[in-house]
Amino acid sequence: MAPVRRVLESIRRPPVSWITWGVIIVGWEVAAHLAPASTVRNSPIVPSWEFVFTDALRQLSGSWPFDYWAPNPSRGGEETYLGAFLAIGYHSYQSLLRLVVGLVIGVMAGVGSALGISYWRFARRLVWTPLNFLRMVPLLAAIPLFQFWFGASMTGTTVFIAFGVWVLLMVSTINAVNNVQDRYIESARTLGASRRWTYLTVVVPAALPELRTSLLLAAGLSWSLTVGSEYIGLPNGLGNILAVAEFNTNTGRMIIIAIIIALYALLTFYFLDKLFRRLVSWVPTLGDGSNLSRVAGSAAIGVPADESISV
Amino acid sequence: MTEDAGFTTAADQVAAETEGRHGAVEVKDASCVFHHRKGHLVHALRDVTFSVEPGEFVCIVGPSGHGKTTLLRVIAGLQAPSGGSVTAGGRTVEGPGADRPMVFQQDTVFPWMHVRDNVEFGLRSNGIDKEDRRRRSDHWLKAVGLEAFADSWPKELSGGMRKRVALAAVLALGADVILMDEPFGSVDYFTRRSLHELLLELWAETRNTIFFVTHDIEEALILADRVLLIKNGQLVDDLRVNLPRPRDEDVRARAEAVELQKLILGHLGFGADVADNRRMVSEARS
Repeated sequence: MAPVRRVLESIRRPPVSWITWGVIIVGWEVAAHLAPASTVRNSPIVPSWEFVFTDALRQLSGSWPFDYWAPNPSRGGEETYLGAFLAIGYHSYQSLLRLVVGLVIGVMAGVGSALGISYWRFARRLVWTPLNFLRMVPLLAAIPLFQFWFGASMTGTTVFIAFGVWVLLMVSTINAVNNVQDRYIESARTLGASRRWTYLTVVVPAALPELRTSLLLAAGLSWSLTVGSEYIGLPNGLGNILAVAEFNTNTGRMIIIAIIIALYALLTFYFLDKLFRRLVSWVPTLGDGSNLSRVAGSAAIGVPADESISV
Repeated sequence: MTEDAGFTTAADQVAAETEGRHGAVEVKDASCVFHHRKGHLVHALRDVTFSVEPGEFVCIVGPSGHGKTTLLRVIAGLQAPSGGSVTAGGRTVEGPGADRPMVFQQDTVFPWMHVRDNVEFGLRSNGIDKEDRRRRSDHWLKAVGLEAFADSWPKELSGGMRKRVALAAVLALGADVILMDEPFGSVDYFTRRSLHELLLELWAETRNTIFFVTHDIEEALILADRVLLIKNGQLVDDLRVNLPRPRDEDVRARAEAVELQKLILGHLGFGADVADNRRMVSEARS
């Protein structure tokens, strides 16, 4: 219920950013009317919102690849909103499948291999420079290479996304391990913990909070990589619709796909962040507030809360 | 100590092997030299020698940056001495271990573990079984007054309470030597006083050897049997504190307490007899 309450609250007291949104939407519409008319009927240079959500949206039904549930315009059927939404659903499924599989493999491989390597200082030094070199390689430029190696297919795209996420997370996980504060390690060692036990129970959890930003970055990156690889060489997915829209110079469809991808990316961020916050709910600056228990704790040692809390 | 609570520990076993010298610590000609990044050498410790009997409460006092913490880290095994040796319970110190756990100045309670898991961490690390761990954590959480917070996250506790958790984690190990590096330096005066009382209460029960680093002379007078004065990396004096316990304000206002305080201040370069003490330090150096 909390998200619903938050939405209702924001409607009652609109945030300042609503003004920015209003300016963008109205400004776009004004630009659409001021821009010179295109010679091609279906591709105004700046499409109006009305064009985007009627003509352009309906034209998306051309990307519905099947003959059932909705007419198929590529075989002479008419353009319908149902076909458009089915097409969006079908291509979203293709993109999301690639993204989720690639992201999960990339995150697991990146974090896992970095944690494995970080245990040995020598191994960490050994991989650091080549890894940073790999990080500098422009990933989008590597798409053709991956498609050549693994094919323009689900496998090729997934491997490519996993590779991009792996490099990013490996670098950031090694960094996070390097940044674990010595005091925790030394404390564990004086309590009798072996080096391996200290690594597993102290270093690994202590490094986790620093991975939050990298994980969110990886989510954004994986969307770029998914759309990029679909755009360049796959027969379906949101990136493919974008490529077809560009081929037909259909700016309206491009706008719709851009909005859909932005929404998906936002949702990915939201759920990943939620998941991560749950995983590291112990971090003092994350999770539910605990003022009440802090105050209760202060009362237990008989001093005022404001004086005793040093979090 | 731990026998009273009905258990023995890995640390107990280590100590038992050392021919009844549980808690005895001997530091012989310990020195510590660091290479400064600008190229010169920093002598953090210079030929420090002393020995401590089991069950003594020793405060290491001195100005900041003069080698107190380095000395403690050498005893803990976190810092190898450049020269000399350290033995604890008759064994040469070659690294950190459960027989010399340490409470640090900074907050070292693991924020990703519940309070009970923090207290049990050392026990688990030393292979103590679950049932025994539970019994000991119950005992020590009660002893530090945190039994109601066993399942809390550290972030839900105040700074003083987290210090109690650190104390319980160290005491639960049942080690004969406990090292404390300005453990109460980050809490307010009133919390610090209540932690002093708690520590002395628990020490009266356990009689561990405690090394307690502080730059606060009042704190040393409240706690210590013995005060080791460290200045410029050297042991400049080794003083017995024969004041009766508990050392409340009245005891600390007695003439002998004031004299002791003046002596310490003098040694450290403050007070009326500064010149004499400076001469003494220079003699000690030569």
